[in-house]
Amino acid sequence: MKKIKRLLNPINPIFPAFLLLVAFLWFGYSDFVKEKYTEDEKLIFEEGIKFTNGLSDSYHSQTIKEAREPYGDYEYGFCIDEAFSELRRTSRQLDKLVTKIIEDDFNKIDFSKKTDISLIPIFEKYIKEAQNINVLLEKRYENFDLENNLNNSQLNQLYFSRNKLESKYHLARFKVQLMEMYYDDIKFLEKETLANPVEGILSNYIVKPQIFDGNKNKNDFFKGKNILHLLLLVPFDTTKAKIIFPKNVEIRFDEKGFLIIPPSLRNSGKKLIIGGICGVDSSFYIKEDL
Amino acid sequence: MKNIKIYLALSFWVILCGFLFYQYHLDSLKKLEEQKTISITNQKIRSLTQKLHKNELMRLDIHIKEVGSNKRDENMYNKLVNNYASVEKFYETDTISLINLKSSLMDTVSVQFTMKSSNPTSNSKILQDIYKMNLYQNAYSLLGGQHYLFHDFGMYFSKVMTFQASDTTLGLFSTREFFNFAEISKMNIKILNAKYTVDVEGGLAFKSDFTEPIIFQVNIHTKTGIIEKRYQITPKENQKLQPFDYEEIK
Repeated sequence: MKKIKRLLNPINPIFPAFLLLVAFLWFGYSDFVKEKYTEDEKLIFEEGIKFTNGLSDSYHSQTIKEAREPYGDYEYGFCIDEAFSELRRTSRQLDKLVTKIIEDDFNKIDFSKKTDISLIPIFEKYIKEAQNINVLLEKRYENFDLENNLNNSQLNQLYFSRNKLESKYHLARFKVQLMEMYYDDIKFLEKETLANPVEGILSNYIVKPQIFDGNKNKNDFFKGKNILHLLLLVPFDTTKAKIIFPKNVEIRFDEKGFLIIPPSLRNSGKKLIIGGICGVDSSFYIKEDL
Repeated sequence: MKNIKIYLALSFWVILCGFLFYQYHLDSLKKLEEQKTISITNQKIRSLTQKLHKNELMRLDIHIKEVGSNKRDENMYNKLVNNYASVEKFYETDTISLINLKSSLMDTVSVQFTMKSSNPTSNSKILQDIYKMNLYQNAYSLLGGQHYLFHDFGMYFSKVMTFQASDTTLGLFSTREFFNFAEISKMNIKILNAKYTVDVEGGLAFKSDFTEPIIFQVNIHTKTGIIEKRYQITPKENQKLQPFDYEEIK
């Protein structure tokens, strides 16, 4: 008892030395051995990473959709002109590029090995190759800054120098940022290279009522009824449209660019083929189509 | 000898206090730094989420306002916009929770709303912030999944479309039909003598066996104002009406 009392005496150096040792061990254990988060807490991070990866996927699929159908997803109706083909080609190449970068440079990062993440070089790699794919993109990346002018080692220090789970969470959002670049690239090219059809249509259209025979509808509800529709008609590109059949029929447009059906064909039941639209000839029978 | 012991003990005490203070200080700094980075990442995720969904909402907005749509779509759109606003409000006011979201979001979203993780019991701000962001992301993702419920969503103007003809002119046709349902649509159509009118989902119909002329009006909204045009459909005995069997009247 006397021995213990002597040991716990504050002026005995063994006591504070012992406490110091315990403190060293405790902090060493906390920093290097003890898991920072419990299993339940880890689940919060995992779910966060899952949702953020989901956001990446949404950006990815939305970009592919955007390049395929810039103004809507109606299956037919887009004129595959040169600019549109170019946009789709660029999108496919950028898609390949971004997928490869995600696969090689993001997904293979192992936070259990203490190495620096080449975050800025990854983004620079995308920019360099994207500019090679489409030179117009140079404009977008003149003053590229990933985050507040921080360099790679500062970003590493800030986001990837502490807990593994936290690092993974940060990395997931940088992945979304890379996908956002692909998304913005396509939106940018769309704006730069394609003419917005909606603008054109809304400034130049005619409205045509149409009576639709409800008996032709499969739904019993429409039987014995006529349905009134409004059609929206937009003009032809008068420089390209031409009558392919019947041959030797003069093509005429009204002042707005609507084709005036040659009088000889009106209500004739004859076939009329119009060409020069998206490289596809479209035909229909005047009478029946009316 | 005793003095040396005292000095030694004192030194150890000073080192211990210094060490504890340093660790405490370091720990606080580390926590602050961690919170700061999580907060930056969360802000970034939030703005990325908003950006993607804003674009989708813009498409829906065109669908509803510019093209014209039916009541069901319009209601659905308003509901969706309100739901997004609720999520934003919950997040802004720090009241975002599973219960609040489930009770305020539309039924189809609410039933699907589940979380694998649960509200953190510890006071860790990092965990709480991430959990809240998870709720936010889940809500947005599920609301984004509701866009398929729109009738004909995506069927708005295309660059070049199928053909449609009137009796004298031919134009490229948008494939989209305009009904009288959307009050705010660019155009609308209504039958003035309502006797034969039948209200149908997605259109305006009248009975085939009508015996008096049917007059209908089309309102065309232009940049300078609304142009009203009136047309008359005259009944034909034992003859089916053709698509353009009407006359414009004054």
